[in-house]
Amino acid sequence: MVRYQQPLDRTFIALADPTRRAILARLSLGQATVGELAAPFAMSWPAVTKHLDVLEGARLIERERRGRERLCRLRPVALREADAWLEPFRQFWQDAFDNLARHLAQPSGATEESEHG
Amino acid sequence: MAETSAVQPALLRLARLFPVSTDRLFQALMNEAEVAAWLHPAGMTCAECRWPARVGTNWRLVLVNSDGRRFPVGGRFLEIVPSRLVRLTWIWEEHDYAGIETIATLSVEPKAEGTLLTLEQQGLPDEKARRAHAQGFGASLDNLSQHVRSTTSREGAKA
Repeated sequence: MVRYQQPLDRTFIALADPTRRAILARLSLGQATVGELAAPFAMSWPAVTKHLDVLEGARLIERERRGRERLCRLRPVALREADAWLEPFRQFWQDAFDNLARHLAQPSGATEESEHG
Repeated sequence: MAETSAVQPALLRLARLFPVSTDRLFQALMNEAEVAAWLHPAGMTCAECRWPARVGTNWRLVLVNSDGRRFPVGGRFLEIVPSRLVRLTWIWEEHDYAGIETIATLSVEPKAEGTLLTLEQQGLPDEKARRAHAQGFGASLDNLSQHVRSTTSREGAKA
């Protein structure tokens, strides 16, 4: 077996780049050819291909040859793993913000709110 | 400071508008008793809170769930800009995420209707943490993950 980086590592590294996130956002709307992906990003074909290599290595997308076109498609599994890793953090802060809203709404808060201003 | 640019892109970004003044909101981030009142997940309480809110000092909370299980978390204050932001390191001491160090930045911004509070949880530039936990993905992950939830079944069928 080939020694790869940890799967989650590859996912996060792939997602760290804004262009790759934009590509994923485009693919979240539906499959696209490499040419279609390159057009809105004003990028050269090789530049797009490089990004697609990273995304494919992270299992975020899959490519399929169809005639002379290469069709790209989102593979949400890796993204879901990254998301699952983050979920407890997200939940923590959402709850904390809920608590904070309640706390700030209390007229008898923990501290007196001064009103000069 | 250059330190800011050295941290990885946000892992997670959450923002919410609160109908209070920026000073009032920032006070709620700085005051130990207030932090103890809100900085915990639903279903937990804060059993211990040390929140000195000075750069270079350490903070620590012990959160307790309804079964009495304790979830200690702590870190260090990295940067405080009054009525602007507080940036701190964040490390769970036990359980699944033990030892994973991230940076949390809470920033406040005045708006017409109140104050916008933004949380960004970031990875560290530290290579070791990076290898172990692969920091560095961006805020739009939140948007993408919504899509992921909606497309889960399709991919599951393929795999």
